[in-house]
Amino acid sequence: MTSAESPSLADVFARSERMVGRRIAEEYVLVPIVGRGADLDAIFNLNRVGAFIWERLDGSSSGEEIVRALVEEFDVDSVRAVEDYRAFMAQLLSIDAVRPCQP
Amino acid sequence: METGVETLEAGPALSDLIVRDCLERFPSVQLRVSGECMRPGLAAGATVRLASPVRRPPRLGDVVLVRLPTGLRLHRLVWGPPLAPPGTRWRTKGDRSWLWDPLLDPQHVLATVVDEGQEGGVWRGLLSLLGGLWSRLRLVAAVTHRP
Repeated sequence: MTSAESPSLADVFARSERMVGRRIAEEYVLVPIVGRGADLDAIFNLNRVGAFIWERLDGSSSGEEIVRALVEEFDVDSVRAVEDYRAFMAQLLSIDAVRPCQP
Repeated sequence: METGVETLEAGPALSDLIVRDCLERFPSVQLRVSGECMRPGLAAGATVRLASPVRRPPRLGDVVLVRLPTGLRLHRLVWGPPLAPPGTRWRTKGDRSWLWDPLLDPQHVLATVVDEGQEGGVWRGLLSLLGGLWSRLRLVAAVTHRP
């Protein structure tokens, strides 16, 4: 990984055990886990694209693979998809929602 | 295309769903107290642990997370089980408030505070209930004896 602010497409990430994604009504939320419970004071909201990426952070898919899936799923060019993916990953890292894995 | 992580500003319906969902999935949830209405027992900034009413059925004197017309509140149950007959409505009240909250259906109690330090809750609940009754009587007296 180049830096926490700018993850590379070669990096592989996994969802942190301290954060759980939940689809509730029409929203996709990330709920932090504290001890054996959830912290309701720090719930984050993901939009449709963010949820799409989040569900693919399985510890084995690289950024390149996820960006390719983004381009296929959404009406977006690859340059924009890379920018958005990297910005999103930087945000997830900043809230400890993901952890880097060995590819 | 826009990605992003945002702190959720949930409306009443969604916040109820989120609380209920988390309480079903986890043994407990934690929440930070934001008001002063439960001082000195619960000061603003204190963190409380909550369990669903199924795991920890609310009892008279418990502090509960309740859906009121004004929003979600952590208030004390001043009329409820075991004194309230089944099928009837309950009452809550902020410890520092003079008045009772509106009557509420039991399903509007989303969670019960399970932190330690709840000893004597029944007595606090009854005293709070009587305090609310006294305030109501004073209010009625003030209105009926207006010159």
